[in-house]
Amino acid sequence: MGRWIQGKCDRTGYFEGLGSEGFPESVLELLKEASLFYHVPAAYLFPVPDMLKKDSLNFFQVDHNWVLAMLDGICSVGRNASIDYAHDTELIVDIYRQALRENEQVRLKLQEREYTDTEEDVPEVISGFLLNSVLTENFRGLEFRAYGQREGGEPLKALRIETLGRQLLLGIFKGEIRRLEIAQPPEGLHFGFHTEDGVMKKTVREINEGKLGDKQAELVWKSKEDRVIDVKASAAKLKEAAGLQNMTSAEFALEMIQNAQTGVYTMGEEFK
Amino acid sequence: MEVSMRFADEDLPEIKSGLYELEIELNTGIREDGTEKQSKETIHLVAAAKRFSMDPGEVYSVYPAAGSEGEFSNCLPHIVFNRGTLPWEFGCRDGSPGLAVFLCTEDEGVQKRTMKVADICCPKEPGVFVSEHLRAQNSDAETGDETCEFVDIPLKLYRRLFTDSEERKLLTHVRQVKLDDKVTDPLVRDGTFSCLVSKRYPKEPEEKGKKTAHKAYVVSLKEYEGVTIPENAGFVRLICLYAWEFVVTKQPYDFRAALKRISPGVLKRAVSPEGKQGELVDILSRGYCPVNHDVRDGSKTVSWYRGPWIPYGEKQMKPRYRIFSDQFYFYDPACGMMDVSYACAWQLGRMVSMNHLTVCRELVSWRLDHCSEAAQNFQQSQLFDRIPAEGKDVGEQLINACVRAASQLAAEKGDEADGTVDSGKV
Repeated sequence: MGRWIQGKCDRTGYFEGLGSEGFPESVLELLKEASLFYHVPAAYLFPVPDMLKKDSLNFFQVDHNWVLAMLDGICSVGRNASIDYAHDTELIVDIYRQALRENEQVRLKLQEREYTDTEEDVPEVISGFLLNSVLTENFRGLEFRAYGQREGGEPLKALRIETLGRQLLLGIFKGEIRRLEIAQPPEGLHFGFHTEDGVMKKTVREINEGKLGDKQAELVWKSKEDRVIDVKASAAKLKEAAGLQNMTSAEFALEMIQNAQTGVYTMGEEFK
Repeated sequence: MEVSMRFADEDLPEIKSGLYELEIELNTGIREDGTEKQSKETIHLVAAAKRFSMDPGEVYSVYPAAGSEGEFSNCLPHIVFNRGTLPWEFGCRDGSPGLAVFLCTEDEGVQKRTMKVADICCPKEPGVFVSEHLRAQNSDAETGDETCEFVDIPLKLYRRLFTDSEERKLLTHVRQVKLDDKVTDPLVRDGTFSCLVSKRYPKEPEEKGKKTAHKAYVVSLKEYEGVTIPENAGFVRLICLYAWEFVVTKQPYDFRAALKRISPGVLKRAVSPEGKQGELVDILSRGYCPVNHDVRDGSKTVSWYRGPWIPYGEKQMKPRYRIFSDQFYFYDPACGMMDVSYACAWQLGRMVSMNHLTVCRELVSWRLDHCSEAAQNFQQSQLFDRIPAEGKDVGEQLINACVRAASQLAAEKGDEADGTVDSGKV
């Protein structure tokens, strides 16, 4: 029997000239999704159920090492021989970096919006929040804007804002969140009025800016007993008070909707 | 945050449902016997649309939210649809939208029923008036056997709630919003919504602590356009495309009230330091949880696990590549326990990959292709180290090397002309 020959394991420069070009798009897509915790079961995300209390807003930072371990697990399939290991050691770092750099495409693709490559490097900090509230259920289309500063500044890029359950919502942003604004979905703003001395009144909104002015218009009942509003007469009153030329349903809606409300949470301070 | 929203008074569909006649004229430009050759054809088309039912997925949201309880007495309930054109798809002949929201309290005698489309026009109940236009038409996408929902509304109430075309136009509008800061929603594509508002506001309960239940129905009124209803009719039958319920109380309910109830904090398990060692409190406050761990040799232990969302910033490690998940175990000799967080993440990644077989196949084939290309390059470089030759590319270098080797052999021994070859060399 012949003797075993020790293989030469130093593969320095063995993969020279090869790059991450041609990496399968489907694998890259999966890596981008996984880096934003798609395909991750809830038990891995919340090992303890009492982390998700009702009416809570919990902030967190993403553990990069956890994400990289998961991405490596995804790419570990078929990594059997030492040559595969050497190959991945040399070539796959760039793939992980690319997946982390371009993972904002996942949200843009879901919203059918276009992606423009800003050639930004992988962010050092990725942070997010979990909202567990009736807001998620009753105000569909909530809007979130996160900032890296307590005051002012440019909004952080949203990587993922999605509902995970009936009342549970996840937000992940590029950078460290120091201020978060939660706004009422404008498409769901309702028509409202206030009652003064038994008269329905509506403060008139300026047509171009959309801001409320000082003038008020009286809304007209068709039948007070039946709580039915005379739409045409009320629209005419609003038209007169706002000094408008036309009063279509668009102007009527602008005048009748209630103001949107916004909640601001700032790090280190109470809700205001 | 500034609200950025645009309103439009209508968003008309490209084509309305109904019967169409398409006339096609072809002028060939070929003249025969002094006249141009022409052909003319008429095609009859049916643009079918649903009239008796609506996919509930078309509804984006309602206000007040379905099942909610609160003080809604100073608002007009509304429904928002995913598509801007929807109310006009159920439109009347004069171009006005044909839908309306009828708001009723529970005690107003409105009855909601489900029955086959074909049976709508044959009411079994006496005193129910049904419009002739509710009969099935050629342009209906539904067949007579399909079921639909409808409401029988007392005539007196119907007259109070009925909206004419001018009112329906004012109560229906389109909203367009930006999606940049919005929750990702698979049903929302372009940020255009249509909104239908009720002209009746909810009834306030008479006493504090009492409740008034309301039902809102989205009904189709186009079948009753220009129809005279006899005074002796008890009820009027309307197609009901959607319905929701809510309760009015004296308790304030709005966005601000819901926001105020939220308590902000950091994502971690609440830890009470009482009766615990300082180290343990430290580990727990870093987001770790003790979990049962079945070790590979069959024994059982308890290890620390922490998910990817942690309450503070963790230093980023240099990426290292593992062959199996156990390489990601971290042992803490102080407490004699292992941290299995990254090992779990690695193993989960592997399972995710195995769940996507196409991904596995493509990944393995990419790696194999790379390895064989690298092996080929390595082989060629070894060859050129031994047979140095010049050339602009690999192919030319190889040819030059062969030519040079052959010419050296020919010069030493043998001549092609006399046919002698040195048997020892070739």
